[in-house]
Amino acid sequence: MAASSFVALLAIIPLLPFLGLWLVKLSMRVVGWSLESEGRDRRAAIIAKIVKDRNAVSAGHHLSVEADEGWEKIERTGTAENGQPLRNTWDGIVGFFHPFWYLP
Amino acid sequence: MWAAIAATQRRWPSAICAVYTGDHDIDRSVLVSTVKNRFDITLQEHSLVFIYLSRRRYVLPSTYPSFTLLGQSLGSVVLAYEAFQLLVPDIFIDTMGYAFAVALCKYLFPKVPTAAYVHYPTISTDMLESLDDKTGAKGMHSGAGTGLKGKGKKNYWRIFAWLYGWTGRQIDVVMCNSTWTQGHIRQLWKPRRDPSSFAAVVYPPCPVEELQAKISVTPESERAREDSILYIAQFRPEKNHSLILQAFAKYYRSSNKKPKLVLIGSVRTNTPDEKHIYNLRLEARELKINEATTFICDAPFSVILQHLQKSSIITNGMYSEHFGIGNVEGLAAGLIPVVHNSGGPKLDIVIPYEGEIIGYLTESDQEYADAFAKVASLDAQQRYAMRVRGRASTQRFSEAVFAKKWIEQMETLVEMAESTTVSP
Repeated sequence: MAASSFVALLAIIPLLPFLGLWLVKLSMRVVGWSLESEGRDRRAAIIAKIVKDRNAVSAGHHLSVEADEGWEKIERTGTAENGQPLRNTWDGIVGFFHPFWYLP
Repeated sequence: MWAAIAATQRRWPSAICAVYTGDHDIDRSVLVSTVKNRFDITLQEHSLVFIYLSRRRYVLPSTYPSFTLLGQSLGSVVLAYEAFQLLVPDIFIDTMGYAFAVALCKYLFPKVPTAAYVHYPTISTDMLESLDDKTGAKGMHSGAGTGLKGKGKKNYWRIFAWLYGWTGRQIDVVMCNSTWTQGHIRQLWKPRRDPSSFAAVVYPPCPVEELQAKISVTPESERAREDSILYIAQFRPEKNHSLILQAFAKYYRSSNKKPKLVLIGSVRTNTPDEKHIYNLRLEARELKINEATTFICDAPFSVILQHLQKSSIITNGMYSEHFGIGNVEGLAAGLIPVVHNSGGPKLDIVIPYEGEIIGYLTESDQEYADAFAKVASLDAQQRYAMRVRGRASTQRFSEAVFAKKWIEQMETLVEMAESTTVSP
């Protein structure tokens, strides 16, 4: 009995690195969840500020008045299928990691 | 970078572009107007937000006198953690080579799609190989892999390359600025998915349209061009201005046309670069070409335009330049490139257009000198035709092409972001 338990324990040893990695991944996800939940109010405030600024601008004039030729080209690059209008309603946050700006 | 943000804003007007920066003095409205005036790029100010980071010192090379590569990479993890404390994005993009920061994002937030736009690999296989080089012609670390210290360096670099490869494999969408960078990234990051579709080449936006509008390439302008060679590059050792000086000296002595060499570049203040340019001036004097050579530091764009209009040849001396935007600018202005047979100039820029050559690839000072002489001796019509071909070939580096390719990659990221939002 003791021998079989010992063998079972031995069999677990090769799995320990995987268990360790899994634990590291899990703890990082927990940190991620906590960052998300702690930053939720700040994120909502940033979005609210942007929406307010945007509304103030659009109240003055329509957003897309300055559609010069270059921009029209970009809009046409979307891959809408079957003649459907291009879906451009995504309103998430794109984070650009750019610690240094070099403005000449 | 500005072009990328502008293209993103235009394609998804309701999206918010958050820029994590360490420059606390950036004012949003001033920046938007500067970008408009300098690059003619329109940013939507109301959709832009700056997130100010205070731990930038962790990614400065000066913080790590030894083990700089590893130090900076781990430092970028610290900085990225600060960024996520301030704001968790829906898509995370690195454009400055901090792959470790992107990997951190993937592990903290597996549902956030990530991307990296790689301008040069943090470590390259060329760097590893150059340690064993015996010719001394393979960049800054050429032949540095001997002795105990050299072997230690080699092992450190190998371990770092492995770690860099592991982080790279965590990134969802990879873009590279050139074929050279793509080749190294594919080799180092060894993706599990199909390597042939991994890491798209997205050339950086070059002011091709502006140069084509401001600089004429006509039979009349051809007559006004001088036998002048132009090199636009920062005055830094790896740009190898010395090779160009030596090559020019050989050409100068063999030519009876009194050719000129013009070196334009910026000098980073309070760095060894200031001494470097002093040494280059000395070298020009020793080679007895100082009267035919002009050094121009931190030239305004108007001066660069003047030289692009009247010079005949654009050159570069750097081994394995990652892309080489200066060469593209020269080509777009109608100059004939005589460039190093490596890196971006070889793989992306000086490649035949419609089956005919648009410039010359060289390595040794003698080869450069021969190529300078070859351009000068070309029949006037042949030379003009080569300028026209070269200019036409630069269309693929234009700002419009960049925006199109950037959006293609962004669409993948947005689709991923939308799918994670919709699914329970």
